[in-house]
Amino acid sequence: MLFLGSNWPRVVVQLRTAIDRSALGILIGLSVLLLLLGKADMKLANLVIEQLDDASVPVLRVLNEPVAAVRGAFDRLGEMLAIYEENARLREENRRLLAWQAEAAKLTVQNRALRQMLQIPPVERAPSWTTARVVADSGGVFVHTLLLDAGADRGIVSGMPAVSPQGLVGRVIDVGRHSSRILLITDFNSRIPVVVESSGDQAILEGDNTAEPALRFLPINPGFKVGDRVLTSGRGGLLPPGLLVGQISAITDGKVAVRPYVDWARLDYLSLLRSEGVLPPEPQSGVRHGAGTRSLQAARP
Amino acid sequence: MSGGMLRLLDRTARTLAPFLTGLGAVLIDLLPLPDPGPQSLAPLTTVCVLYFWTLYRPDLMTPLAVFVVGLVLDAAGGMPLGLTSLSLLLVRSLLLTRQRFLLAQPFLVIWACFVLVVAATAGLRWLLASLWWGRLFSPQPVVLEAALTVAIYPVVGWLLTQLHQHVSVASHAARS
Repeated sequence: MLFLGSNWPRVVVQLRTAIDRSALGILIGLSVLLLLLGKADMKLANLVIEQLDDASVPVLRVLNEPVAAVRGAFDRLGEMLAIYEENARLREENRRLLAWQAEAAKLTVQNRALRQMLQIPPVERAPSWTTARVVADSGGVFVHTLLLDAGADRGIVSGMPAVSPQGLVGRVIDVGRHSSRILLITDFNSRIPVVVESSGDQAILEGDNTAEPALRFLPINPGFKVGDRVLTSGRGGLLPPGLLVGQISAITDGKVAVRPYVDWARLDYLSLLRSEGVLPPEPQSGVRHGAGTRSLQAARP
Repeated sequence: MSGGMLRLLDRTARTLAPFLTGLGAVLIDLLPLPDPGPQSLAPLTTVCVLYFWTLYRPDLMTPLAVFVVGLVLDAAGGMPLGLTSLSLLLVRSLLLTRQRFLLAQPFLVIWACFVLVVAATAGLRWLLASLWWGRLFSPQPVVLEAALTVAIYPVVGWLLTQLHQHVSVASHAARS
């Protein structure tokens, strides 16, 4: 009825106008109701959102193909123009990384020896992850979220950290069957427990819808400076410790700003880390639920 | 397939064209363009498409179509459900009171009126979002998004005019 064409008798047209007019009122009322329901009972609204997300993801995935191709072509063009500078930069970086590699090898040996002396079980376990494609973004005016093309069908669960090769991007807040939504660390609802690497100061990284989120709940005399690295602290158990987040970019009276390491322009794919803590403990191991990463790892052979 | 069946299919496609272009615009708005970064602002093509069809074929761009388009944009964009639907429905009913007057105007006047429509839509979304979350959002990205939306209207309008002419010609041919 609501999509009829215009070549209809007069009575039908008048009837339709009446229906449309009342439909307008009903739909406005329905929108208000949905807004209120979303505010009061997140579950129902989430169910509708997950269904619509699941339905739109396959279409968006197809539409993203040409977008990714064009972006890739521009990237390649840019790289070709800057090939000499890039080469020089990579040589310099390679030289520095070789030095770091030697340092890391030395520290690994030392670490292993110290662990043996203190009888701490080894912690190095390859993290497992799922890779998903970014198919939609929220536009960045009110919320900073991304829609991914993997959901519960690929083992995504709420709370998983999403990382790019440079560092933390955000965490999963909604999971549908074939889709999931990431809350970016820049969104005003994002709170991440972090630690400043050099000084060890604990803080909460609070998004404020700008490109540079702020450090809050700092200790009284913090010892960091501009340029220091910020990592996840793992406090609260939601995120694993030690994920790179960003570096302190400005310290003013009102705000300690952190510039995320993430290269937003190349965020086509994301890795979602599986948390060790959500794995069920092995039987007869005597490990309590939610006892934390270390005790779980300690219980494994 | 019989001729009657083909005609029915053709008419359905023409009748649904405004709604389908509206959904297409939502998908374009959702694509991570120019990049998925939190600061990358893009125009709202959806508002352009809804404005065009509300002016030229309000009988085909029904309140239900506007509601569904807004709902999909809200859901897939991570906004509170109903926020964009409500803004678009209110702006649509406001626009319909001046629709006949606008139809007789040159393009520049129609474009100028679009500035008001975008301002109203963006303002309503900003107000509703601020009420919903209980905090004042920075108006700067809202204004930038609105400016970008106004800037792309001539292109979207031109493309839709081509489609509209095609739809009209086809419907005249079908009637005669």
